[in-house]
Amino acid sequence: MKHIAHFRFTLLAIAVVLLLPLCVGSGTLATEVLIFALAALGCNLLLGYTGLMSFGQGIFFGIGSYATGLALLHLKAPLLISLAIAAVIGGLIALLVGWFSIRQRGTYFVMLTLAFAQMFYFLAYTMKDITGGDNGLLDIPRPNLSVLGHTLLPTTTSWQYYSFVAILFVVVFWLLQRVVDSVLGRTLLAVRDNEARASAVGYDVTLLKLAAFVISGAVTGLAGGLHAMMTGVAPLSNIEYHTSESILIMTVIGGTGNLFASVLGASFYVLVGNWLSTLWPRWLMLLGFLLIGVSLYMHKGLYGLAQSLLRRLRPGEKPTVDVVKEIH
Amino acid sequence: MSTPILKAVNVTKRYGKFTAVNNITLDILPGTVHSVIGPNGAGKTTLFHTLTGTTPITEGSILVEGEEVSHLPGYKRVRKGLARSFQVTSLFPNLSVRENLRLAAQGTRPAQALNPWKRPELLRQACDVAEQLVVRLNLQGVADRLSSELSHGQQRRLEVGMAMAGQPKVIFLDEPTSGMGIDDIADMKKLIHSLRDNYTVVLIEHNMDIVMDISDSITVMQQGQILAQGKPGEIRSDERVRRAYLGSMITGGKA
Amino acid sequence: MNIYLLQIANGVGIGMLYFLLAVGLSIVFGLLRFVNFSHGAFFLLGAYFCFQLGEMGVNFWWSLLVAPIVVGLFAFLVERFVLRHIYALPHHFHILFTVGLALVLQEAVISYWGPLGNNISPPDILQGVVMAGGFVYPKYRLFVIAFTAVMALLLWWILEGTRLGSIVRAGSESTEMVSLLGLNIDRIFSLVFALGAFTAGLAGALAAPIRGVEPFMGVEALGIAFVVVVIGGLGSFSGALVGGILVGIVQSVMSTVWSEGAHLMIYVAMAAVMLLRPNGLLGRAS
Repeated sequence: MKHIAHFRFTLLAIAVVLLLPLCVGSGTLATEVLIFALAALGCNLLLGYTGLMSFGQGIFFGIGSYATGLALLHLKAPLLISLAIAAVIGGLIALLVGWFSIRQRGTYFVMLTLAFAQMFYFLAYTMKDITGGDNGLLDIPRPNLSVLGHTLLPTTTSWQYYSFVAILFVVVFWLLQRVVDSVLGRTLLAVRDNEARASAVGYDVTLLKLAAFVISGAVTGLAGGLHAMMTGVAPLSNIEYHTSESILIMTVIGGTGNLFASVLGASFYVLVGNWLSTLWPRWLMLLGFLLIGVSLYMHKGLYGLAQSLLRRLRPGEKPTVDVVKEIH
Repeated sequence: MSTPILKAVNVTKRYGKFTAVNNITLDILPGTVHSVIGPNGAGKTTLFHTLTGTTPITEGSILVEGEEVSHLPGYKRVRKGLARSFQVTSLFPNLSVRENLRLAAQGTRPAQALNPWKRPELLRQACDVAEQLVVRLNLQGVADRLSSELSHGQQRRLEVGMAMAGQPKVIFLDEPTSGMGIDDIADMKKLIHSLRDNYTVVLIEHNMDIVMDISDSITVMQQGQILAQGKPGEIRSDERVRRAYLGSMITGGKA
Repeated sequence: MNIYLLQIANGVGIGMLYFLLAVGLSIVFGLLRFVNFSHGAFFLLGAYFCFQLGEMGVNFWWSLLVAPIVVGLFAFLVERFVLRHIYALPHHFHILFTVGLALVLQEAVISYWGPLGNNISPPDILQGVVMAGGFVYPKYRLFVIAFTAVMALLLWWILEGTRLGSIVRAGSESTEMVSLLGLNIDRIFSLVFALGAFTAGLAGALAAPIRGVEPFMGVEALGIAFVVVVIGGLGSFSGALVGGILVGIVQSVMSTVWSEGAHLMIYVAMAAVMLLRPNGLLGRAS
């Protein structure tokens, strides 16, 4: 039973991946949900588990897009290598940005991530030769998943690409869930709860935060790379402040209590946003109000909402205590 | 004459123009309980901060078993054998009691904390230490509860436990009985007594009952400086101390 | 040589504006202990209100007064009726609330005035240039420098010379202390928040004739305010001044040397300061 408990979130993630094609008509839209779910997972690792609020996730998302785009266009690299490059570069840039930002106490950290987000935006804008500036990188190919010339998984149609992204998503989700349940994950929670105490019992808090930041950057870079392949472009907007803001918002809306909540948040943001934007171009205003609402009433986000609804539907059931405890 | 396990030499801490700790020199002998007492604002907690590394030192030197540690940040001094509890309870509120202790026990080998794969239950040594402490601290009933759900007395005991978990050489306890009721104080006194067997204890306390009862030596501080040092008997009869401090004591028992 | 001097003069002009933009953020943080992410939106509102009043035929001088007051009033009401209730929460929620507010305000601006920018001209007497010796300098920019210098002095006087100011400064050291003194901390918080918004709105109104108005200027302003405050030190009045002018000069000089990189260099300058002085040039190391 304990084994199933450990896997329950991964099973939920698999369920989402299987459900999406049934609920969503467009393969591209379904893929977008998973891509931003990955980005939100990266953001949640920082916010929910380490207590770091980053307004710079767009940096890694954008850089991941550029990295994969360049790898595919100029290096003619195969699918997985191109994505691996995005993850590695995302992690390295996170190391750089993190090193500057993490040394600062909480408030400065948040401001610095936003300032760095702006910096990388202007950097991408000026380095036109590499990034294509305003136009971005265009005509990014989407190779099939193949080994030694044999196609394992085609990616030509949007639903074929979705299946590839879905498999990758489940794998990454499972890996992150393991990280979160591991010694590192629990120590990060301690850092989130009480930095002074964590330091007083012997932990190098800066190093731990940096580790979380690097993992987050790698996952977000991967998401950016997948996005570039999905749309065929690596636009400047992927590295813009609005992307950083959106990723943070979907993480917060989902709830920071556990990883699966980020999947909910991203699904909500992408699907509802897609629907609302056809009705009203200023739908972001509603998002702003939702964010205000979350900060006032719904601290645990959609996941918390779902939890309390379920609790009400099952009266008289005592909450159990896990050995490996959830945070909320 | 045994060598001091901890030696503070001319330790000074300044915040801008304000000198909180002024040229403190003291020796702490191994296996003893050394209390630091003094009125509020004397600089006792600041002294603790500089010794444990919570705050960087302005001037002076700190030696643990002869080794200079004053340049080390707080988290590195843990590996040199120093541990502390805080005056204001400082736990991991959203984690269970067991987990709090396990994390504290794990802290002496922080490299393991970076392991992104291993589940924490598999860290046998740390888990065993945590289990033993749960029993010793008399927290069996609440071991799985979140530390924020504990009563104040239980939290203060856990606070001491966090310092014990790393099996340090020297434990710094900052007002462990603060805010406690009489029953809890008695339990805490027993706990601190039992610490003498395994650790060297440096104690800040306002409760004179405990201080006089269990201390081997006492340092009296006032306005950042040492007013007097010596055995409990000497301190009790020291005129300067009486005038400055003990005469106006409100908490605790006999003077 | 002359062109560099001119750019430095320009830089000081922009820098004073950046100071005015950032000082409100710093003061609000000093007392309320959180970073107001809708600060850029207040800048945006100030600019657009000024533009709108101009469109409605109002004299620029009146717009310059009324626009920031409206922004300040709006901020006062938001603080009084909504923000106040979440002070007890962890800081993350304050940030999220103000981010949400900023988003709402930005979208509201786009709904009303459209997604494209607009231009606004300075009042007639401030149009054109001033000539002194070899120097040719736009009159409006000169006015901005003088006006913001006066505002800086006014703010300095408020902070150092008035009772409200000493409370703000005391509160920067310890919020508990201030409330223990039995002062009506609630009203003070509202006033300070409103003051911060007022200065941002004023900066926006002043900036409008220079760069026009455009819905995303709020985000850019927020970024710049952060840079100024990080360079100068959070909570420091003189830090905001030094930081603002430094950023202004960097931007101006860079716009002649490498115009594309002007914005980038601001942020690089910030990173450089962070390396050398993590608490900012004039910040407190606490």
